[in-house]
Amino acid sequence: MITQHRLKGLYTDGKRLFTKSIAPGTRPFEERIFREEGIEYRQIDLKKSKLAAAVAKGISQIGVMPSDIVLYLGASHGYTPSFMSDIVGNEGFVFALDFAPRVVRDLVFVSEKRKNLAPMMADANHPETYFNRILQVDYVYQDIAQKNQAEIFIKNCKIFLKKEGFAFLAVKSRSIDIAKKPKQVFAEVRKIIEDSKELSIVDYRELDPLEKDHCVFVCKKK
Amino acid sequence: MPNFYLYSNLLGSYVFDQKFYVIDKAMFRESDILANSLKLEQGKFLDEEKQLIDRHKKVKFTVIGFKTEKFSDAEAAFDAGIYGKICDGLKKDRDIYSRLRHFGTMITKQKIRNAVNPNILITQAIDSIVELEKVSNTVAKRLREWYGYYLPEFSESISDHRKFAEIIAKKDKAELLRELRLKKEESMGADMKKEDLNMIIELAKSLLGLYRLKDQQQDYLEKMMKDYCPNMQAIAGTLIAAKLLGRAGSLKRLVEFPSSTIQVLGAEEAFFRHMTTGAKMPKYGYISQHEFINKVSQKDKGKIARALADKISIASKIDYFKGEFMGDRLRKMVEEKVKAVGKEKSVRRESKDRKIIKR
Repeated sequence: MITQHRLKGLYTDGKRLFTKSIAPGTRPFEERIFREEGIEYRQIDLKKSKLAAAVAKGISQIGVMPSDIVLYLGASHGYTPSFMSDIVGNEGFVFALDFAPRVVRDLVFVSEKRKNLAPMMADANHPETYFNRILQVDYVYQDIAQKNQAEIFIKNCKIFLKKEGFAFLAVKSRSIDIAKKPKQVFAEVRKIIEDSKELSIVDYRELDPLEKDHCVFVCKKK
Repeated sequence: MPNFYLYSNLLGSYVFDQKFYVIDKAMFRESDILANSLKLEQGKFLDEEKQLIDRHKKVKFTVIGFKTEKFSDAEAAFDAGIYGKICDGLKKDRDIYSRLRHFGTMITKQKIRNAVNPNILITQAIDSIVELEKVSNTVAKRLREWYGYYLPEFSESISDHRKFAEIIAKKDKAELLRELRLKKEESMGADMKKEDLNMIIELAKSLLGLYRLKDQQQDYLEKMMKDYCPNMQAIAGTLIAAKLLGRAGSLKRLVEFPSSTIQVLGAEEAFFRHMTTGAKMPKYGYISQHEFINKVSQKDKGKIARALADKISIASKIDYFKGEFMGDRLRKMVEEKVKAVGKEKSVRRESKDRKIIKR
């Protein structure tokens, strides 16, 4: 029996995590499909999605709501973006960005079947290069493996996130500094976020054992 | 003087008054959308924007966006609050998302098209060559196994896989027995029906096809490298140079690496082990396959690896900036060094912390 999760936009049967597909009949990633009462649910793999891993680790909120307009930085091949597209539904919209042409190509194919998902090839380090292609958003989601991922996050939230909007940052410790201990890197990222004076941290989780040396911050724009 | 806001997106340029009403706009012709987007990306003023600014004289324009050039007395100043109000206005038309998605996707597709460059073809070719090596080794082992039930003595007698396949595809058992000077009763191989033997020979032919394909790809790669990075090819050889390029991602990135990085490209596993656990630092990656490093004694490998990486780094820059060819001279420099270290006598270090192992 699949029911609403405590987090809006997500569904669960007690142990698995799902979204309601806005493009029924499509399985862009060979994900498991469950059908109940004519509704198609797509199962999210906790090992493939940082968003799902954070939920599994009991995060109090992920910040995104149905109908939200989302800026997704680091969309890659489109796995989590496809679930984000489900969560926000047809009233919402997802601007999905990535920098590498090879993965954006796959993202374009995923977006073809989802009218609320727009594939963009852009460098999140340079918002001025995609400023004209998107709008201000209700929610920023970032999963980028770069040394200056914290700075990129702050920069994009400053420009594109609406006041009191939520933002989700997935941090990969090894991308920032492979030699430092993850906990130290996480603490340094926390400080950068707090020092920005733009965002306040509302929740935090380390994703072990689902993702090694990763953590997530959920923030709110002041 | 009233203060108006100028904002442009993919679809058009808009003029907002202080209450954020759209008091003027210029929607782009579809044929201009791609070019305009590129201009905006570069921070340039569009013709449409200039026209709007000129049309409203006695107004101070604030451009909500990012500009790298100036026009009239318009000032680019980004303010998140103002940007929000502008977007709220635009979002009233729910259609805007599908239009941004439509044209945004077109731009994305154009960028993807433009991203294909010689680097990519070189990387695909070298990756394929490496794969074909692995695959042909696997098939060759299978071929020997299978053939071993027919005439194991022949498989035993020849170590080169390619020659082995070539010969068994041509010569029959009787001929091979004569060449091996064996009588039929002295062989451990069984007789086989024609259709059973055929299967083995077909596999041999396929294997030969794989070798020919690999030759083709290597020739192709040689030509590509000669055209794209002749200096690197001259000093490192086609295969190593291609592997370095593949690992770096592009010639541009390779040029930005210090030579110490080039030295260890290909030894990432060992390198990161060193970084995280403090294990020994690797002295060389792909360049270890170079003949200069192969033929030098163990104690000198590190020195030559450094020298080689240094010159490869120089070669990559000459290639990137399309300078005068000197790959052969660079190669000679490393060759001289190889000769020089060969002549150095082994130095007995007297430092305290060197343990002398009693044999």
